[in-house]
Amino acid sequence: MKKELIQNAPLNEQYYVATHQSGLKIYVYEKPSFSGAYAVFGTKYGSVDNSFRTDPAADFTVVPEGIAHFLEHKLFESEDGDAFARYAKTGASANAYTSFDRTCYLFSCSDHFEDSFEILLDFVQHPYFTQATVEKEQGIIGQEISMYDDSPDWVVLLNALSCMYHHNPVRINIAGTAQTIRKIDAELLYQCYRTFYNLKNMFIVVSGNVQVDRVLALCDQYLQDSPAVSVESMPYNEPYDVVNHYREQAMPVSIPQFIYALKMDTDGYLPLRTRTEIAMILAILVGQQSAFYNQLLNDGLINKSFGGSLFDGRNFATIMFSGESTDPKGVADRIKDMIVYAQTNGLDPEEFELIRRQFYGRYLMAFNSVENIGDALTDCACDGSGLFDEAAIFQSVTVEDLNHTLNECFDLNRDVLSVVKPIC
Amino acid sequence: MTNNTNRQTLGEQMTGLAVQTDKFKTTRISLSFVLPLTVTDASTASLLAKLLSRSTKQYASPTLLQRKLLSLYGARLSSGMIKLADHQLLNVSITVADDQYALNGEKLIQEATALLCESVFHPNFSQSTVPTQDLEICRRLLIESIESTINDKRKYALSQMYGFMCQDEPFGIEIGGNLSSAKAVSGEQVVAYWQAMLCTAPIVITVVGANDPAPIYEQIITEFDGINRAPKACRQVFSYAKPTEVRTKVETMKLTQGKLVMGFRSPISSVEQDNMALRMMCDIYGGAPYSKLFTVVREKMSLCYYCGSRIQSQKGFICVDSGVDEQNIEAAKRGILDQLVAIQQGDFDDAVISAAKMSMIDGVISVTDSQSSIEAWYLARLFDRTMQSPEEFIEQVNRIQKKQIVEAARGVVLDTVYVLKGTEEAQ
Repeated sequence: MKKELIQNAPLNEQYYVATHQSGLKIYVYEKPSFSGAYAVFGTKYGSVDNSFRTDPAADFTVVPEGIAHFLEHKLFESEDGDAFARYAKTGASANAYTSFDRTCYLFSCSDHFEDSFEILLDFVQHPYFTQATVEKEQGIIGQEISMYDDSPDWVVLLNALSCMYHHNPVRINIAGTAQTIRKIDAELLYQCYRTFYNLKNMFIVVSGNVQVDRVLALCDQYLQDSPAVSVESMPYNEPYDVVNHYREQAMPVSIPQFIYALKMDTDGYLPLRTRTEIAMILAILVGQQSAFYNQLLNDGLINKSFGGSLFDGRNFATIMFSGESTDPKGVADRIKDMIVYAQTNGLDPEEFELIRRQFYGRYLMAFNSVENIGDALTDCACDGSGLFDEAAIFQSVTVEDLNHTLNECFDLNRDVLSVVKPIC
Repeated sequence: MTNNTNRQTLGEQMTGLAVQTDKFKTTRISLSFVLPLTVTDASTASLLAKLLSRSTKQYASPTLLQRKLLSLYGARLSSGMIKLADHQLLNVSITVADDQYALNGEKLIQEATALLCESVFHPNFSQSTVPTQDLEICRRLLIESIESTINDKRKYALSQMYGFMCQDEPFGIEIGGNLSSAKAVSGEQVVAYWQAMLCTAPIVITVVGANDPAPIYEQIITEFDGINRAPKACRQVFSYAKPTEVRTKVETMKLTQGKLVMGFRSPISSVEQDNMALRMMCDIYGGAPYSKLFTVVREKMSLCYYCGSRIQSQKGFICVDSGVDEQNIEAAKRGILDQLVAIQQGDFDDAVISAAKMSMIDGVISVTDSQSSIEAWYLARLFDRTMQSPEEFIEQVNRIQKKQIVEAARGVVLDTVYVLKGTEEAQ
């Protein structure tokens, strides 16, 4: 397998990208000074992929909500036991997650990397579902759903998304509901597996104390090529407007939790430049050094949980301000005023230069952890960006660029306020 | 593992702990003050910690201090409290990019150390009190943080169980204290507490990174020149009384998933003796996917999404927590106790022991790949009979045999059961 070396000379960092004959991309980041290694075998398949077809002439298949997450749980099982039992013999710490737009199987280890990597490559490529094991999992996942139903962080996010989107499937709970997971059976799981777990739709990321040639040799040995599957998602027309501007729910919390969010449009992933610019704008506007943050803190409106972030993935993007406040509506009003002021007057160039320095320092810090590197490469595998691209962006971006993005992307007509308030 | 660890005495009750390694692009420097844990002290110390990283004499507002940190390429200054058995640590730390990455030749390590010192030794206090606005903002943050325990039901249930189990022990006190103690602390008390802390608290200075720690130590020690140090040693004393009855507390809340937390005591404490057998017992019991609680209570009985155990080393506690439907709480409790009996009877094979050893060793090695984990490793062992390095820990893991695990398990006795039930309305 041919490999391409990608370097960042000033930081003395580099990684390799190789493409398997199936089309699967393999990212390898050698960090020989570290003790541990981290590996991810992922597919670009998440909870949003719930209506699809593989034959352009056929009807779309609509699968039960939560099936991608259910599949993730079940894939650990094989006819002779589960992958955890196999990992127990190597000492690796294994896990998996399903997000809105991807499913990843991963492990970290400090020894026996090759044995663990072989387990990863093997079990992800060998599904084994039976009706009996599917039914057993419904109990466990039902408990997981209940746990998230009690989590105000999760509820406030899901409510924000359901307020924001009319049709975009990101409004659906990743794990589904107790009702929808009851509709899942072994055959449906196989159908989703065959559709989304073909190698062309997948990727492998390895970082840490590993050797690139050994990783690629193992991939060559264990990856089983299969015919590429062309998947078409059911199209939907997401209106410009949000569904509702406000939603609240009462839960046992000490103080209201809120998300104030602004809807954005994106076809696929937002360009890395836009993402970086939005992150810098948010750091300038609501970072802990900002006048806005400290004024709201002084006024008793927010606490240290307050912050701004970009919540984005394949075909969805929203700018979010989240935190806890006794007066979420008051905070939202102040955020709106602050954005209008910044759009009218422009961002402070001096503050911009400080944030540029911060981004450089935080970028450096990201290379302190093999898990961070692995997760960042996972993002690259999904959105097609390069790990060192961000540095070039924040080094070259100007305050005028940010002002342009601030006016383009921060659309107050498309705002949503989601609140979880205490039970009276 | 190629980390070079050096522990040295820098003064009376002042320890320097440096781990020199070039694997990171940053250096992490911290000062930890070892303090007694009482309800009042818990609130005072937490308020102090918040104030120390809010502003300083030189950077007299949060904006100025944060802008200074941004100019140091986003250096992270943080302060907080860590509970360690019946004591608390006030920890202030800074992480900064190494000098070689400065774009304009700045001496980042020196500047960051100076800022850390500024924060600890020159807070924005007057002679005897704290500016009212700063104090009241930090008090509000503390109160909201105490009240917010309820937001995370898993953490809430754990804290309620320990609060109930350790009513008569400092360990039962939450970091930050309670609402009434947080409301009662005055600015004068905070300043007096800070002054006493600098004079009397044992101190640990940790440096993790590529740099020679000596100039960093020197820069920090110089700050003590005007302080009349009269340190008082803090010792953790272990006392054990076998529980004679199981105490139970049940709470109801509007939620869909119940929580079951069970607290166990054992006569083995790392303060007095090697507790590796108990650690391994805890791992086999509920520490990993090969454990009894995961394979039987979660997977076979399909009772809960999570069910795991963890150890509190210095106190000799094992705690099991699980998320479980209300109608399954009794079944889960029986299952959890049955699995303890199984371990006490030696019902586990060599493969599980081998898995536990590999997993524990793997986990320990990974500690050396993170600056904060390295620091936390040593701070967590301040009261242990011997402060083990990760390498020594691994040697000890490899020596453990099945009979020692069984023996340790036989000393584990259920003390307290805490149940958080959902209301019918929520379900």
